[in-house]
Amino acid sequence: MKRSRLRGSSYIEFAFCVLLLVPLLLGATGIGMNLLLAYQASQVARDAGHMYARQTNNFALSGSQTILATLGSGIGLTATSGVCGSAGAGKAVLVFTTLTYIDDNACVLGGYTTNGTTHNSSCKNFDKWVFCQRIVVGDTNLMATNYGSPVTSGNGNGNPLVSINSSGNISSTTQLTNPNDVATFNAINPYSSAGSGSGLPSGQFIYIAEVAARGFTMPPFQKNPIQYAYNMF
Amino acid sequence: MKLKQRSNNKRGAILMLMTVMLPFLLIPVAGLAIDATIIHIVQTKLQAAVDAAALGSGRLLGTPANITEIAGEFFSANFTVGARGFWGATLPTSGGANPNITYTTGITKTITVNAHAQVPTLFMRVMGFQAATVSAIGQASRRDARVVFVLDRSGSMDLGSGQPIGLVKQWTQSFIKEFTPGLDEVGVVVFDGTGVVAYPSGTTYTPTPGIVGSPSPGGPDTCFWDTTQASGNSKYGVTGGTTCGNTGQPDAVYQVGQLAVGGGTGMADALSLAYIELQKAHLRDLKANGSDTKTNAILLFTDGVPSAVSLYANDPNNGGPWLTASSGCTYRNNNNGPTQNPIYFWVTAPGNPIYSSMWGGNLQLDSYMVDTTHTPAWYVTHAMPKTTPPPFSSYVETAAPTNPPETGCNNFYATGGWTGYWNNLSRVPATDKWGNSTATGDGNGSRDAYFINTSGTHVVTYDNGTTFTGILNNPSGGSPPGQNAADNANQWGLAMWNATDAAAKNIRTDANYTNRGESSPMQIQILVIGYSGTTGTDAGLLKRIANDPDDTQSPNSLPAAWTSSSQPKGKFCLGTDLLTLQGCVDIMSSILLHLTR
Repeated sequence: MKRSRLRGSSYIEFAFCVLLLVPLLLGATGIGMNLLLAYQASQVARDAGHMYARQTNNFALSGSQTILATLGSGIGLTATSGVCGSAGAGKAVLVFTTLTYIDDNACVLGGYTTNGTTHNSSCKNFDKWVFCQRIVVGDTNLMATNYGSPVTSGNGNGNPLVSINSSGNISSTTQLTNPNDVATFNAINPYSSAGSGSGLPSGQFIYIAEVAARGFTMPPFQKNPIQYAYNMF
Repeated sequence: MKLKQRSNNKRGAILMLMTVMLPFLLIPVAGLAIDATIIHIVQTKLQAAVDAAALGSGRLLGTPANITEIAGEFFSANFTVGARGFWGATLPTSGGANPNITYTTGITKTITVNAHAQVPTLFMRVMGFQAATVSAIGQASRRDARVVFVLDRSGSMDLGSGQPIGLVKQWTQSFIKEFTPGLDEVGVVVFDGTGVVAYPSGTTYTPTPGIVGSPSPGGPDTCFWDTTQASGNSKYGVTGGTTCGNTGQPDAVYQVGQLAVGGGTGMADALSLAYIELQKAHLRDLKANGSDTKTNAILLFTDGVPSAVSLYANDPNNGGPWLTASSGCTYRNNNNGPTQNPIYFWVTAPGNPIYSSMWGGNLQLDSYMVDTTHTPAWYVTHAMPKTTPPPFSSYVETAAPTNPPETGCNNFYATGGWTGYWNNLSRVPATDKWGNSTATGDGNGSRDAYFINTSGTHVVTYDNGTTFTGILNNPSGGSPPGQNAADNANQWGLAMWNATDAAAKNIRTDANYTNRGESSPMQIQILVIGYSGTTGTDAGLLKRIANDPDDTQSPNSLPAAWTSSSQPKGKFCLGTDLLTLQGCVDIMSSILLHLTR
């Protein structure tokens, strides 16, 4: 009789402990999983960005995307055909963006000049950062980039829609003349003082790799968390 | 009684144990794991940020840009602090600048970014650890470069629209301006049917590099851009032009802007000239400093396939002279001093890869036929074919020179038309003017062509044993005829292809190093940009020239045997339209100027 009562009190004590331990365990697991994912996303952004900036791989090719998928297997990155990604493909997305600054020399190179040395009014994107290339690998549903996107659909706000070719490239004419190709810096522009006497040569580029990965979901603690990382070179 | 007491004592022990363990063990352990992970992630972010800062600003090493400022901006862009930062990480400045950016100039320019961040802890603060400090260091460097630009200005570079030569000129000018006058060394060779050293230009040209201790004059120099000129087409050597010995001569930027277009594609001649130029500068450094610390590279731009070759008809070496006994041209005799009176000429066979017709001429070996009128600067502005205006006869000698008299060589000088050139040859010469084999290419037993048409589409591959090489398999005649058939345009086409392949190998292996008196070869990297948008190009050959084993880049189905693992690896980039061509320029710029690690 006494032993039975004792046994019961242990159960009750254990139940109290479980009430504390299980949430602690689950919370630690969930947080740990997402921290691990955040770490992996950072690594993928860094490594893929390195390769992208150094132009060692053409990520428009399926072979190169397979390399990325291997690199990003920990975050569930899946190779997708083409340069536009695919909705619902895998658990992560990797977005490569190349931006360039349109200065006088770029306008002159494109023939948008009257006197051969400075731009004319047809070079509408003068003094702006524009998209040169956009390659998306993986699930396009996961995020909108922090750098905006070329306007490729809709009414175009009175300007032509931007066309991205099979290599992810945008024509030089579009870069120079189409306002729909202008990049918006929600994040920080590393060349923010480019126009203030840094002596930058013409034709500067920014290479950006952004990664978003679907995190570990554990309601009610965590619902649809997205781990985001980026690097710009 | 005792038993009951003990049982009562046990009651609540687990709860008490947990109560004690939770704040002092379980939560700290879990917290430690979480804090440690966060700290590790911040460290990763910090490392990525310093890498990005080094790499991003490293692209500008050697330019007038404010490197440290740009590095700082890249760092800030990649490592945010405050509300948008990483778990509240901060960049303490109590110990000095953070990030601490150091830019070291010199032969090797280095940017070093050193940063440390303080990461507030979430759980460990219970134990008295308010924050943890992580640090990272990133570095990028670049050596001074020595580059010879080899630019194709054959007729196909302008099919009426002014492109792609217009953009190539502008891009090359911009590219040259990315190098640092006074530090980097730049040379320019341009070619149509034959090549000429466009920069540094002079009224004389020395066709040999010299030897250790006695370099020949010329070669890429540091005075390639007069930065005092506001416009893109600056005309005269920089202030240091005096140092370079080219004061008053056009600078490289100006020369590129003056390029005229026309004629064939004498790639082997141009590559050989670039090789000689590199050696001159290399020897100059050896003489002055005892060492050559620069990176040596050749950047070839072409839109076609080899369609011309320069030759030395009375070459006493390499199985020559190649003149027939019936030619009547007595300068084929060694005793007559052929080395003093070489008969140079060129043959062009267009219609690649089916070389269906050909023509030839002399006094158009641009680099050789330099005089006070036909200076390198003059050749740059006068490309083949030079028919109208001025008259064709102004450029192509239609009779044997009289000083010295080349007795009996009138037929050779094409008084009866182009056929005079090959009808006076016993065979297609086994080597070109520079000793590059016209028969075996680079000698690895394969002649590999991979033709890309104007739409950027692969049309045909020629590998060993197929039609492309089968013609050469009968060098003594027969069917197909082999190199004895000097009047066969296809033979000439193959000879041009082989000579180019051989020239590239000679450069990559620095075949001349023992002749210079050195015990080890220079390391020369060849970078090649091929443009298929006008007439199509041979991406296979160009990839071989670069010795680029990268199978992820087009053409990406080439056998591994097409490249050599023992020779310096270069880079080939195929441009199928003007935009991808621009991308290729960016890649080469990245390789030559952004040698960052």
